[in-house]
Amino acid sequence: MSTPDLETRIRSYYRTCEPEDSARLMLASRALLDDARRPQPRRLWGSLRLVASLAAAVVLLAVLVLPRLDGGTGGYVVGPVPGTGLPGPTFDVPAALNAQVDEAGLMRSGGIWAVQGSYLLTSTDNGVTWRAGTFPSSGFSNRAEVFVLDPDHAWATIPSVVAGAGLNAAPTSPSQRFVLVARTSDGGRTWQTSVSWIDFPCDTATLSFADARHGFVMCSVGAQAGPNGPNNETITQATKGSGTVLRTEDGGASWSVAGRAVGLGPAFTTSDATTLWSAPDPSSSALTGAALYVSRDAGTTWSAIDLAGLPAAPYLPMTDVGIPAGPVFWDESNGAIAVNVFYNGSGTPPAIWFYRTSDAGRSWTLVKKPVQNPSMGMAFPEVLAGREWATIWLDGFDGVTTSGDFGSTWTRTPWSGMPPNSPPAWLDFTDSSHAAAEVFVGPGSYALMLSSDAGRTWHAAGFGDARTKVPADSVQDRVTAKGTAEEFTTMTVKSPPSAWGMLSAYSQRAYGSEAAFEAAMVALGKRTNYALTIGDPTQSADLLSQQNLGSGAWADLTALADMSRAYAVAVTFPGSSEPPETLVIAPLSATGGWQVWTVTTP
Amino acid sequence: MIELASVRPREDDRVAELLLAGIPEAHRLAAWILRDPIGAEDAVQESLLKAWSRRRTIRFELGEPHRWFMRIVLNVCRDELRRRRRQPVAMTEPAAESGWVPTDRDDLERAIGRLKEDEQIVLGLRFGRDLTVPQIAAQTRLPEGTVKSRLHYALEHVRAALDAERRAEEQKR
Repeated sequence: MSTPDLETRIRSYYRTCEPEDSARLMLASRALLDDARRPQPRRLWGSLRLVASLAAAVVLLAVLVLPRLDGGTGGYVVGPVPGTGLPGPTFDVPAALNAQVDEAGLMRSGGIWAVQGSYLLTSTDNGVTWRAGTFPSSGFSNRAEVFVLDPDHAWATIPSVVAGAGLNAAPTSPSQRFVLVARTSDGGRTWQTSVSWIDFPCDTATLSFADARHGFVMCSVGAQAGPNGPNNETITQATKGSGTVLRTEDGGASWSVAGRAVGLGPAFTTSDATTLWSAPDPSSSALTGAALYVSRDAGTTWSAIDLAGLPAAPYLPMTDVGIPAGPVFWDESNGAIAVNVFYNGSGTPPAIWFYRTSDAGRSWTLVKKPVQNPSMGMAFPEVLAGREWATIWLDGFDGVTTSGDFGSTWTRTPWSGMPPNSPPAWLDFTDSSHAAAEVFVGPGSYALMLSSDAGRTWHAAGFGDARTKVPADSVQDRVTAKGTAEEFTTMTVKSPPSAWGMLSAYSQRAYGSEAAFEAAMVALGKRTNYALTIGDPTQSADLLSQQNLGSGAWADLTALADMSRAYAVAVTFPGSSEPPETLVIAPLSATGGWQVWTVTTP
Repeated sequence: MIELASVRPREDDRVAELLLAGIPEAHRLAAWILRDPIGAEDAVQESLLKAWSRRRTIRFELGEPHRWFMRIVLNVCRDELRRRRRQPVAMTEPAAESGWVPTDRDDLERAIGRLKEDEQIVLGLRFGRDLTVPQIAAQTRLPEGTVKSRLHYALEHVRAALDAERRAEEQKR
């Protein structure tokens, strides 16, 4: 059989495989996505501050749950990472569940930070020890952007609107939108909030601080594809991204508009109090032809930087030029940046272009000819520039490829201890041997993983007892916590699926199923009187105090419990003619020394 | 040392619409690669959930979220093909069934089913999706040369499998 014959046969065979209609699948997919978009466990950390709502009670005593997780290792500990053949550690799911984080990153001063529910955690020794403070998670957990300068100074921001005005809609009147910035200068012991009313769109409000006083918020709006989809024919109809810069000189207490420009993207950084860099999102750079912008007057005026050698705009159809990270400066004048160029359809392989500057970014020189993607598989390539200038190419699901010399040489490192078939959401190196990564660990949950051997083996971060050492006077935002708890109580009656969605992954595991959760809620709803006991689940005999609770249970509980923290809720029911019942409210994902509030029926 | 502020656009509505808009294309892609209607639907839904769970990484691919989604579909399909190879479905011996008439479709289906996963993928993209070699290279992020050689070997392997079947049939007669 000649090749054309065979190809014709194959072609007609494939025609028989084409599905006739995707309408049913479309409907099912929409339902699936709607389901996935219900309030997720990771939001609960922020919101389920204290489900002291006694009706919110839940199921199994926490101490009964952990042994269960550990005992059934077959179900939770995954085998050696496929493809590596390494004898290294396996991905330890219970450990990862204890290392769940909402956000994580590197501090500007060095070290790692993580936000876990209402905790801000920092480490300056690559995760060996952690310091904890509070984080204003409620109201900030969703869409919050965090910038941590050093273990003392951190900021979080969220763009918002007054009810009724859409985030992306043009403002119909001034003062409908605002940017909230929360700040701490004592490691999260106390937080203060400032509100800036704005009259321009702000999809994403990102932060960067040069020092404890001088900082910026970039209010950016992403590029939008034209009406016919993301392809090249719509470029002329697409909109470019833009950004407005807010500036503070008092550490975030007051903010003013510094300037705005087309092409500015959410990824931005300051190299000193007056110099800012902004990398547009890739679709915006494909439209404008610019890959990097600079402002040398604290955000007032902006100009595009010429990166010689990059393809000139207008780009080829469907060409991506993007700077997911950078530039990196190692002193006042010397720095580098990596640009990811991907041509679709031209036959040119995707490549990383490296540029260096020795004049504080006034001019950039192409250091290396474009380096072809060393990964040969279908992967999710990401170029990142870390502190030690390790350039990383996320190599699919089982390792990283790094270069410390601008791409001249590459080292491929298969890893073990990471979840199989799942690329990290974030990965960076703190030095040439220590790395941190955020990995997907369950529906809506991410865990912080650490490596101290250049990414070869990974283990879940252990926050130790840092969270129990948060000063007792760092209570904040009780009103919001109470609101959340009351909302949860209402949800358990009106919409059990929503309440289930508010539970942490940890509590969901404790229940086992949504049906069991609903049954527990129904059982609990019948109860009118409780005795509250505070104790330690690891030493259940050691009860600290006890109090009878009546209809004013909330007030009684707030008098006893630290309302600032995130809690999982677990319940069993001991004694009485009914099945044994005990209500336990414990800090989420804590390990050892938990504070627990126990409610038993009199 | 300086690094960019952590950026995780949480434009969930936008991401959801982009993903849903890609369902029909994802459906066809999965059907061409898996050649099994039920498996294709499962793969699309799995891809959708994967994409949704990874939407925080979408900023790296913001220029082409659609292509990003399709790459997830390809990866899911490849995993499924690999799984099938490890746990091969018991194949009925065609001649054992009464009234069985060999067709073009059957021998081709078997021949393609025996290819390596990556060969099945390039074949599906080339002859099902009707992409050119450069387009396949872009979609899979493989060098063009690799795509060409993979396609070449895939066709050779299909041809060899068809020949072997034909010879086996002739011997039986």
